[in-house]
Amino acid sequence: MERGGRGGLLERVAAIFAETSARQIDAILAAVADEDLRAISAQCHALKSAAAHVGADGLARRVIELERAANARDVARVAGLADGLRVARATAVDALQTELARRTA
Amino acid sequence: MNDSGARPLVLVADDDEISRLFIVETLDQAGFETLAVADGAAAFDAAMSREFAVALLDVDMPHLDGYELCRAIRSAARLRHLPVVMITGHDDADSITRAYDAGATDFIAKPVNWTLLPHRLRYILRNAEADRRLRHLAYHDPLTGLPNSQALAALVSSEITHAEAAGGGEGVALLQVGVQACTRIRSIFGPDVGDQALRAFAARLLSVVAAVDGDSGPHASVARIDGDRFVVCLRDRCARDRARMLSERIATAFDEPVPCGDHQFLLLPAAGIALSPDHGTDAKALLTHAAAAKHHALRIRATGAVFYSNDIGDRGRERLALEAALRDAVRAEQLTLYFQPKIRISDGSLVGVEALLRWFDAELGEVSPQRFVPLAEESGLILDIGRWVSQAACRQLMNWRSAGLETTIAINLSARQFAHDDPAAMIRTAASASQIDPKSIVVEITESALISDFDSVRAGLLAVRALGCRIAIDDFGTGYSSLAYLKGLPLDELKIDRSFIRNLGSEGVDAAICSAVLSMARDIGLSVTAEGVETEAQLEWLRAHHCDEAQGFLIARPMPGHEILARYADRGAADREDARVA
Repeated sequence: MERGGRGGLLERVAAIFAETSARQIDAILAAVADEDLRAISAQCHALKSAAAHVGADGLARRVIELERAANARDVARVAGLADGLRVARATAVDALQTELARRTA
Repeated sequence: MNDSGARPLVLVADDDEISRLFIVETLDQAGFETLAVADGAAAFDAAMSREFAVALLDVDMPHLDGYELCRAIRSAARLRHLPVVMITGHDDADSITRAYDAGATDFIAKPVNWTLLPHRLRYILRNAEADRRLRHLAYHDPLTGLPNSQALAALVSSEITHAEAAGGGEGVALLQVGVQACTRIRSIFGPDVGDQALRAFAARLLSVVAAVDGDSGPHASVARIDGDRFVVCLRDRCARDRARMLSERIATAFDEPVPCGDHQFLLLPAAGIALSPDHGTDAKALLTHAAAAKHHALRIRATGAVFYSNDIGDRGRERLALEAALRDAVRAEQLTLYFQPKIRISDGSLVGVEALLRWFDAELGEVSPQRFVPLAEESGLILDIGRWVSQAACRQLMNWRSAGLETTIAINLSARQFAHDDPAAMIRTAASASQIDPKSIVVEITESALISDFDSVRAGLLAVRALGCRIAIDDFGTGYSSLAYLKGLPLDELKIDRSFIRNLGSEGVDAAICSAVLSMARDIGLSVTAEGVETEAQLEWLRAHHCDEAQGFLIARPMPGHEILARYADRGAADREDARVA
């Protein structure tokens, strides 16, 4: 359980996002390889909130579209959207680190 | 928000760590305290163990999802009213509908607008507080803060259900406790002191119940269902024994006067107990039977609690049927007056008659006044009956006068009429309608009625006396009143109770008492009537001891108005002729 706290929020969020988003994308890509549409949808659902919370709008949009494609059982679109996931995540993580560096400077 | 200014505690349940962090941070900055958990089961445990102002639930969580958690919260009695806000990225119509169907108070779609979130929560908390106050008003008695009859009915139903589910001989006991003294206190000292007395009674009752809770068994609840009636509800394997013990403790606790502002009041309770399943298996039956048992305790002046029995129920129903018949009789004017003469002992002349109520019912036959007058008192019908009696008596007096019989008529008034009616106005209206001088009317009140509500009776008697009526104390000697009472009253006459007259003629305690009363009455200028005179020996003793007047079967039994006329009209005319010649 966590009690309400203050301070260092952005650092903690950035660290958590870097770790969990990598894990979630690995899981999504594994599910894509297995063509497990339900697992893709579930993982996307979890990742899209985190991406939206940290302001990674590009990644969030892509994940939302991926979730919709999985729900629509559009395998071809799923594969296309999954391709760019790692790049989108890396962009988001970089942006977060840049923002952190700017704030601490 | 609560009134104390403390930070409202928010339960946050979300398996996404980043969401949790943002929610916690946002709410912390906005003045909320938070407790965040990552799954539904942990959220439910937390909700059961602490007092949260609101719960924010994600939908997708391991172990127990948001919908299931919300339903679990709504089915737990202590969490039933906890505001629940679902926060989720599932913002389709189906998810929103499922959230509200599960009992959610509100729904927030992700991504969350962090600026809006605290405002939304404050709004929800304000609504929740307004709901809480409304529920409190709807289910609590404003005077004592105790649950009211509606809350009690729900509680009793729930306790019966739990007892049945628990099995193993668990039962529910309802102890209804009444405190009639509060009604008298209200009529004498006014509503503020009456309310104070009720609050003081409730506080002592609560402390007794709490002490018994501490000694044994599960928690018992106290409610005030109306006026001076309280109910204690308890569920236990030994419900009967525990209710008995509780009633004994209550009786003992109220042996001591209750401090109430500048006063100390003896608030003796009457209590009745009904048990489930023995006396009923639903709340309504149990409440009715506890009330019947308390009513019986009151009637027989029981010092301890009375357990309900079928016999009590049967008698209660009989009384209700009789009350209904009496109500019809009053409405249809089927009551009638008989009149018992009262004579001056020195010369045997008629000095007046006492109006006595009679009820002849087509089905029940003649119903004894001993049976229906107490019923009329309890039901409040005595007020209507009292008005009818005063009107009928005045009409009769007018008829006699038209036929040449001049006399006075005595009517009996009860303490209840003084407390809840205006006897002076009632007599004025009746006398005026029949063009009767109120001086021809004697108002009789029993000694016991007098002392039951002394101040209001005294005030009423002063008003009646101001009209010109005479005032007589009936059944004198039976009410244990102090002579000090008599000093403060506008009295004209004492009527010695028949129980003292019965043994007159032989010297004994009764004769000594009658001598003392006659002597005392003479000293303070009151005339004395002996009631229940049935033998020549009694009348002779009374004559020898200068008793003024006599009434009883020796002189005449109660009779209809026309018989009074037939018997006394000529004699009255003769008496007046004698007086004119003399």
